[in-house]
Parts: sequence; structure tokens; C-alpha cells
Amino acid sequence: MGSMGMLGAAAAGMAGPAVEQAEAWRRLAAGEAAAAAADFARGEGREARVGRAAALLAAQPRTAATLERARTLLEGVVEEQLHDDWAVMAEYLLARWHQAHALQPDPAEGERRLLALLEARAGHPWADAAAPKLAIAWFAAERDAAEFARREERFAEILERVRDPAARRDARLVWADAALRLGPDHARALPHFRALAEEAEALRPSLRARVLFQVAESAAALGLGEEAVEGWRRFAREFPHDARAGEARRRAEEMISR
Amino acid sequence: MKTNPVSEKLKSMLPWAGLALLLGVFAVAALRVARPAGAAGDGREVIRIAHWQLEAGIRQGIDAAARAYEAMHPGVRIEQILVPERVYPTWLTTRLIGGTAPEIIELAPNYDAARVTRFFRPLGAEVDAANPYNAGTALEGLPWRNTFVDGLASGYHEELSDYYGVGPFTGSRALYYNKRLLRELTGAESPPADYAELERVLARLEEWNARRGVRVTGFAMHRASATALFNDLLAAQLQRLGTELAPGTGLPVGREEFYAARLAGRWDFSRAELRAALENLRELSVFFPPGFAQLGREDATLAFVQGRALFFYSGTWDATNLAAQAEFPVGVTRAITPGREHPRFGAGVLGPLASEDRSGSPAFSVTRDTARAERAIDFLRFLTSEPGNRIFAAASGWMPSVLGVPGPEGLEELMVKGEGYPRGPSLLGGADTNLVFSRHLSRLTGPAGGVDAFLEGFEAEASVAMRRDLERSVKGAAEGVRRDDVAIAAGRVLAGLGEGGAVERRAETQNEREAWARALAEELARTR
Repeated sequence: MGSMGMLGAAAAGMAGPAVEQAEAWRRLAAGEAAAAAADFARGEGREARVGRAAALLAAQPRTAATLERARTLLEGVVEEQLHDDWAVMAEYLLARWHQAHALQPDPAEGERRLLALLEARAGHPWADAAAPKLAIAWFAAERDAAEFARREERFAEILERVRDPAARRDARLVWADAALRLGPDHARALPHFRALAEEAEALRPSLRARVLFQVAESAAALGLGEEAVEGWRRFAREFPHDARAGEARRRAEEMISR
Repeated sequence: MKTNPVSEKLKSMLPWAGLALLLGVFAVAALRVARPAGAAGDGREVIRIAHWQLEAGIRQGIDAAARAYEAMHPGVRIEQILVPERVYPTWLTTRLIGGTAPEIIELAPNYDAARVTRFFRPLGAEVDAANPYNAGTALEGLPWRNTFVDGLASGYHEELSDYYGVGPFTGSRALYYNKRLLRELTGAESPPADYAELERVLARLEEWNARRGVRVTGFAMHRASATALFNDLLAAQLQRLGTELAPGTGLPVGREEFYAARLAGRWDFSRAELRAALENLRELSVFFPPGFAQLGREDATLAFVQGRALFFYSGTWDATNLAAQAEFPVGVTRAITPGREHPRFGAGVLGPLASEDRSGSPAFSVTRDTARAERAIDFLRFLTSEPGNRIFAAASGWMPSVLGVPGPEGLEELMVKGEGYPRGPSLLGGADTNLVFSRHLSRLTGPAGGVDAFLEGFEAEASVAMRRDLERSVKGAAEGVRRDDVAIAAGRVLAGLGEGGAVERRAETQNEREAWARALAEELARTR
């Protein structure tokens, strides 16, 4: 890793790119997968191999050969047993490979790898990134309340060890939305929406609006009138020109007049 | 044959004349190429702004703001490049790929996330900071994004989770009317106050037509405006049903959830409010011109300005054009949909639709590779500051985008106010469902048609089409998730260098969308 990379690692809590690879990562971030793959292919070392694998995941057209090459590169980095940041990133991308990138995805294998990553490398930024993905796998489509509850207990323990606030928020949102689809179960959903509302400034505007409105709505459904009124008022205050602003003001007034 | 010596002489000179012309063109081109990029002939820094808004007013509005900006910055010149809408996407792609794109570009509506990230500069950091041109106004010190009437929602790219543009004007749906004709029919120039009154006016128009033996249609319509009107009628009449289908959020479901609920058997076409909405469409379509589904915007505009229609259902973007072309005074009001008190069409309505339509709001973006990005952003700051936008709105006659700037005379009522009730879902919107709807539309609106005749063909096909639309959404989401995986991974690595842009917000959007797609895919599997 180059000196810039070391500085980056200190700043972001994980590996930054080596100077000679930085441009290839920039190309990849800008969606120029083919150019980035060619750049990484000219490079050497573990970073270049992870970068090339990532670029191959985005290469068009998607072919079995390209995707297999990406998987082989990632497995190679993991198997070297160096346990550095590139190995953790490779483990994360391998989990995603099985979940979303393979021509025939294997969600169960992806889920198993995400869980293993979260257990083995708790608190690492790439393990933190796995938390919302595991939440999606466990909750997004779960309609069985008993199974949902069983998973909740386990996931709460996992979330305790996630250090990245953004990953925690994303996982909570998946969890809360799934609880709303389950019934809706406002009692399950509200604590998560409350936690998200406390960090509302960090959310993108459209999500911030949705979360604030939902806190009020779930509070109202649970008979928490005061919290509901305050929630709707906060929404109308922060999003006065939103299409839901009039509705928020009306609901607050109706609640007060009851 | 007798020859003309002068003509012969001219013929012999022709190749040389051609060569001279060629050399002349080459010399001019060479001079232009030799001129430093971005510099005017007078040495000033040039910022070019390209857009397709050829409607009356926009060019004048931007020009007025540009001249005011140039007066403050004498070393700068702002040039507009106007490109017709039909060729705009091709023109833009050619310029972007060729590296000759202007500094400021109105984003083409079909530009996907990959092209936006490749060619345009994210503005998240800039819009979070205060706009210095708002100093001394009520907006001083506010983050730039919070100074727009829509909170800059029109410049926000959901998929990329960042701001990629700002716009000097907003747009919303509007109902234009021929004041002279309306006075002749009703004795007054004020528009119908509600839907019941609109019905009475249309009935009078029929009598008026019969008496005079003429055919003035109720509405000037074209394919897109008819779809927009259908959508608005449905959005009003399905408010109650849409809210019932979303007990968790207490707000009407969106289109995709509405389709999924149909597949799950949670509503069907026997619902009274849905039949009422279709009946409403049928009754109104009697007042459309024949073959409206085949007409274009120009046809409808022409029909209205020539006095061949009483109303024109369009948007605020047509206000200046219509006023300039019509030989009669043009009135404008909000879209009129049935209220909940309407005896036949009000059962599904909760209240008047909130004005949130941003279909006419543009996003002017800054090209990624320009060396003059700072200057371009600075001009956009001025254009969308309180004083700059005031100049723009006054000169253009278009709806301003900035808080506190008054709307043009006559359009004040259409300003976004954050009032009204959220829209219900629409039956239209999915490509396949739209196609099936269009195919059967004549059975609803035709002379011998009706709701039952329409549903007889539409109902069975609609479910299949809705499923296909939802499957396409899930597939599109999966593709987006894969693309984002890689861009986010690269962004996280670059965060080590203090780069990477809004990677957290992009991951936030991706996780939210991935969860939604997973739930929807499961729902589709369950209802197969």
C-alpha cells in the first residue's frame, strides 16, 4: 500500500488505495468498469486483484466467464490468509457475488458468508457494510411473525457490534420497514423509526421526510398522541412544501381536538 | 448550340470559387479552434448554458439574469445554446462524448445514473452551503438547497443519492381557458370553482355549439395531456383506496404497491371508486377532440390558440407561449378534479390534490470535465438566488423556483404551497399496463363504449401486464443494486483519500431499494 493509502487508512478506518491504483478506483466509481479493469490488470498486488474483481462484476456484457474470473480473484485474495483490509473487502464482495452478482445467485450461501463476516470481523467497515445486507436477507420478505421474532433477537446482538452509524441506520430501516409489512406491527417498528429520527440530519432528504412522518403515524397507531402530534408538527416544519405537509398539519389538529 | 462567353468564363472559375470558399470556411474554423477554450473573442471567460426550453420567456429570463451577472463580473460572458427538444438527447450525448460539452447543461430526462455520474458533477457539498448571493435577503445563511420552493427535490438524483442540478423555474399542472369564450358561455371570466361547475360549463358549451352549428371542443387535448388528466382524476378518486392499502404508513400507496395489491387480490375492478373514476374519464372524454390519443402537443396548442377549444389541460410551462399566440385573453387555474362532495365521483376522494407536480422543473447541471466548473456554479448560485431568480421570473414570466420570489401575474395560485391531500395511486405508469390501457381505451371513450365494455377486455389483460411491469421493476432494481455494489465499493476505498462523494447516501439508497425489491419479488412469487 502506498503512502497515500496509509494516510487514507488512518482517515477512513480501512485501506485506502495505493497512489498507483487511485485513478483506477476513480474510474470504477464513475462507472467506467472496462477502463478500470484494464488499469487494475496492469497493476500488481492484492489491491489490484480486488479492484480488478470489482471491475469485472460491473463489466458488460455479464458473462459466466467474467463473473467466474471475478470470483477466482476474490477467493485468491482471501485464501492467502493475510487478514488485511483487502481480504475483508474480498470476503464482503464474495458474499455479494453469491447474493446478487452470480448468474444463478445462491442467497443462502451469500447470507452464510455475510453472517460469518459479521462474526469474524465485527466492527470492521466491510463487516459493518454487511449488516444491512443481512437485515435484507432476514427481514425484508419475512412474513412469519415467530420466525421474525427469533431473527430479531439474534440481529439485535449483531447490530450492537456494528460501529459505522450509517450501516446501523440502514439496517434499522430495513428492519423497521419489514415490521410495518408484518401486520403492520407498529410496536416493533416505532423504536427503530425513533432511532432514525434522532439521526435525521444524516439521512437523505426523501428518507428523512419518510422517517419523520412514520414516527408520527406509528405513535398515533399505538395511542401515543403527544408524540404523534409532535412528529407531524416536526414534519410540517421541516418539509413545509412537501405534498404530505398539509396532511401532517391536519392529522396533528385532529389528534389535538380528540 | 450557341454558347455564352460570360457563362463559360464563370464555369471555368467555379472550381476555384469552390476552393476559395473551402479555404475560407477552414480559416474561420481554424481561428475558432485556435481561440482558447472558454474564452470569448474579447478575452472574457465564457460560460455556455445549453437547454431545450424554447418556449417563450426562458431565453429572455436567463439572458436578463446573465446580463446582471456579467455586470457584477465584467470578465465573464454567459452564452445560451438552445437546442430543440427532439434532437437534444442526441446532441447532448455527442457533445459529452466528444468532450465539447458546454459548462452548464439541462439534464435530459432520460439520462440514467451511469451517464449522470460519468459526465456531471455532484453538487451535494455546494448546495449544503449558503448561497452568497442571498446575502441581505430573508434567505441569507440558509443552505442553498433549502432556498428552493421544492427543497431542491428536482435536482436530487435518488439513485445516486446526491444533488446534480438546480433550476431557475418550477412547473405544475394547469388548466388554461379562453376567457372570451367563457364569458360568452357563463357571463363571467372567472374559472369554474369546482368540478360540478366545470360540468355545467361544458354542458353549456354543448348547447352553444348546437345553437351555432359549430364545434368548439371542451378541451384541446393530446396524447400526453390526456394521460396526465387521467392520472390526476385517478389520483384524486383513488386517495381513499390507496390509503386503505397502506395501513402501515397511513398514506396512499405508490403505483407499484397498487399493482402488487391487485395481484394479491386486495382490490379489483368492481370497486365503486375505480368504476367511478373510469366513468369520470368517459364523461370527460366526450369533450376531447376526435382522435386525441394520436395528437401531439403542437396540435393541441394550435387548436387552443385558434379558439377551437375552451380549455387546455397542460402545465405552467405553456403560459407564456399561449399568452403570446392566442388572440384572446387566456386564463389559468389549478387542475379541477371532483371533490369528495361530488355525488357520483366523490366517494373515493379525500380532498384536493396537493400541488407537488414537478414534471416541469428542470435541473441545470455542471459538466464534470469543465475547467470552469467554479464559475459555472457561481452563475447558477446567482440565477437561483433571491435577487437573481427575481430578475429571471420578471423577464421570463415563468414560475420562480426560489422562496420569496413572487410568481408571474395570473400564476400566483399555482405556486407550490404544501397544502392539499397526497395523491392516490394511478392505474397508469407501468409500460405494459399503459399499453393495455391504450389498446382498450376506445372501448371506454368511444360512442358505443362504457365502463363495462372497457373492463371486459382490460381487466384480464391488466393483471398480466401489471405483473410484467412489476417483474421489470424488480429486474431493474437488481441491475441497479449490482451496479451500485461496485460504485459503492470503489467509493469506500476512495474515502480513504477523502474522496468518494456521497458514498454513505448512495449505500443508503441502495439498501432501501434492495430491501424493497426483495419484498416485492417475494410478493410476486407468493401471488404467482
